[in-house]
Amino acid sequence: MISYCCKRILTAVPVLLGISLLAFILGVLSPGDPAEFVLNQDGLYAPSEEQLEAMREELGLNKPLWLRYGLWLMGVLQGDLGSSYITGRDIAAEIAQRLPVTLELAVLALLMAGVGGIFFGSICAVYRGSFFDNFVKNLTNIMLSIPGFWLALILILIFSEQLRWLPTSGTGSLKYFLLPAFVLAFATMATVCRFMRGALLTEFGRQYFLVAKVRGINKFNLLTRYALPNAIIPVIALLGNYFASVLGGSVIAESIFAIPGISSMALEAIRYRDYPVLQAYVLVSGCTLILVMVTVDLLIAYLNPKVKLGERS
Amino acid sequence: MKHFYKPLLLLLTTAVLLLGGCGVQQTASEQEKNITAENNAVVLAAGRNLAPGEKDGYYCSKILGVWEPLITKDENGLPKPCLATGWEMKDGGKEWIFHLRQGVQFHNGSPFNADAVIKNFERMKLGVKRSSFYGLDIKTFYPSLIRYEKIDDYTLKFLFAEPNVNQLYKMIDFGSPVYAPECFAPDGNFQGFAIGTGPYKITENVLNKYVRLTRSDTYYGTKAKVPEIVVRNIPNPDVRYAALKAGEILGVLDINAIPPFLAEEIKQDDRFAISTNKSTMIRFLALNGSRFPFNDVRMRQAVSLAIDRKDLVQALYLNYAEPTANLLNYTSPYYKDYPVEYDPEKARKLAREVLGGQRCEVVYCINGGEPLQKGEAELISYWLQIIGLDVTIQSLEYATMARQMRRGDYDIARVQQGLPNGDPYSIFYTFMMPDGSRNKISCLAYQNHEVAALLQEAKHCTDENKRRAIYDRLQLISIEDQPVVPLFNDRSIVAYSKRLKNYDALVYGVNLAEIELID
Repeated sequence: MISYCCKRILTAVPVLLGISLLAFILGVLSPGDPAEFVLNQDGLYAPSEEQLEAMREELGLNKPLWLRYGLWLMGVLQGDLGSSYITGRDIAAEIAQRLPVTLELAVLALLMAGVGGIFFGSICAVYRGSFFDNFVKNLTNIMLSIPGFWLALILILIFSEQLRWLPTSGTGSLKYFLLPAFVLAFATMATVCRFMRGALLTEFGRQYFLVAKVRGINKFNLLTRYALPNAIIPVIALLGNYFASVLGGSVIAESIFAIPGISSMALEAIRYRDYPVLQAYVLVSGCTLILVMVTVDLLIAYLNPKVKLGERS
Repeated sequence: MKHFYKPLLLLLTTAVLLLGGCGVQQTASEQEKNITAENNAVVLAAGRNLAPGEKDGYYCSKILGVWEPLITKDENGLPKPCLATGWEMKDGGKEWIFHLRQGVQFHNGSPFNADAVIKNFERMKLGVKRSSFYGLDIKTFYPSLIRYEKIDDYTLKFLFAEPNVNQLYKMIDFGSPVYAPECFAPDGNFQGFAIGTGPYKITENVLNKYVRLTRSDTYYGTKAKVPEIVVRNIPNPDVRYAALKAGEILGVLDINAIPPFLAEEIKQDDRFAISTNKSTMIRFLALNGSRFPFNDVRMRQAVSLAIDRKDLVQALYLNYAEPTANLLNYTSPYYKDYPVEYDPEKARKLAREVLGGQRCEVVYCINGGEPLQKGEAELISYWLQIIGLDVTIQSLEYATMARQMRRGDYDIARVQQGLPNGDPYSIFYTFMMPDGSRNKISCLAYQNHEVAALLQEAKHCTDENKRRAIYDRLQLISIEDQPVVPLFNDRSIVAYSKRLKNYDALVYGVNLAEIELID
């Protein structure tokens, strides 16, 4: 297992280098001059060409591309992610401040999507064809089609503005994260629910399950001891991917609910062509993704010894 | 069974502990307790971070009342004493003497005097300081400054290589901020909170979340009425509106605090009120004057005459804007209210002369990040097709649009301009002189010898009446020639709970020191 982990981490290094290089090249190719944004952050004033040139020099934008990337890479190897073009703040400190917020949001969303999806998916499978099953099936269709931003605003209207149960925005205790996490989990909960239902139904048709059923084992034990452990493995892989995607894809939730996480930081960085921040973001989210994937692989291998590490089922 | 559930339970427990841990940590702090309107602190919200912190040239916006400038402006936009109580202009504007306010202390107890001001200038000389408000650049605010010197503890002299008759305007607010020298790091950034002389001092600043202001009891003027104010950062306008309705905040402030359609809605609720004032922001259409058809002044005039600005403002901005054809923003004391002409017949005639009866396809670029621009562009396209222009609307990200404009790869673009200070010189220069930055970067290709002569005269003119006459003429030329096509001046709108008193919109922000909490 240790050798597997080491191998995965070592193979991740060229991948991370590749994606950081790609992010750098794409950033440089995209239109827009960071110097202009530094001097004209609100887009309201027009800096002169001399001011722009001085700022380009200060930011090192006049250096050749390979040198800029090389300098950044050297900094990263020494633990220095650089500083933001726009705010001038230290990027590592900024990420250290923002990452826990996004992680907290992602973990809560994962719990909601996982627990809710598995629970309802299991009930639907057990009571296949019932009114509840059909109702949930239609509900998941709706859940998958509702846009996140719209849901966020509707939830704020109901739970914050009208009922005043939950805060509209900001961060603090757990209650601040309930609405944004629910928005993030909403569509995935539906996917997990359908996935779980399908996987369980497959398990219900297998020979081991029929034998257990014939032996007279009660329904609850049949589900929890026989079908669920087998059906849940692909769901765990799905949730692993989901968790990783939330880290980079919670832009809507973060911007609507005023949550200062890394996704909103990345969005601002794209807008202002803040390349150092973008590269650092790609690096951090890439590392997190690899870490999550390794954890998921280990978990799956542990749950199903037939799965060899590195050959995910 | 154990084999299956043990790791899952472990993961679940870890997740719950992680969440619980974060929750406990935050709940135990005072943060959450105070981020509600029920406590003594008045909680407000802005769409952006009003205290970006140590690496920002100003640390925080002026509207927080933490720092004060040497010169501010009155309600008419004219220079007004603040930390400088008086001034003298000598040698045709090459020498300026400022008399400083006495008996003023910074929040840390250090005295405000000429030495403190000189240290602020030394900091500015270290180089341009980036800011999300205005770049702090000594060359912009004090052009051709040769030196500054202390005459006595409360008098300073500035010497310039060239006449600077409008120096006072350049120094208004963001042009002359003064901080306690102790809060500067060697590189000119801040170390810790900004320490100013204003009615409020910063006692907590959680970046991207909120800033806490506490009343300064050593303030030399009338003390602030509310002991503590928290300004939260809520970027989404709908959420700011919901937070206001939910009672989480008592008011909104800053640029674009609340959009017109939400202001109209909030007016329907008896618990809230709105206040409006003029704004320094002017919205206009930039026309590419380097190519056909807008290289002909008649075509620019035709566009201006074809647009029914009153209808536009009424339909899309619910009259929270002021139609204008004048390049100069209406907060300038030199602004003259010229009538806004709408004459489709005359527009059609002028366009026909240029287009020779043919139709012409033009590209109209808008900033995709601003939702109202799309509707506005559609409306304007309708008016422009009447004069023979077939418009293709191109919604672009701002950076892309800026690049296209710089390259001259556009016909019409919807842009905006803030008036940095009340003096019209820089605005006319930037748009109407061949080397003006807006003229160049937007490929306006505008040139007028009379404008050049008038601006040269204004630069050296110390006679106020003559200056006013020059600026009147420049405004008239801008209306006739339309180097850009102004659409409307914004209105500054703030919304607030009626639990607050004196929450009146200013040209920028509200006067926090004046607001009161009624219970």
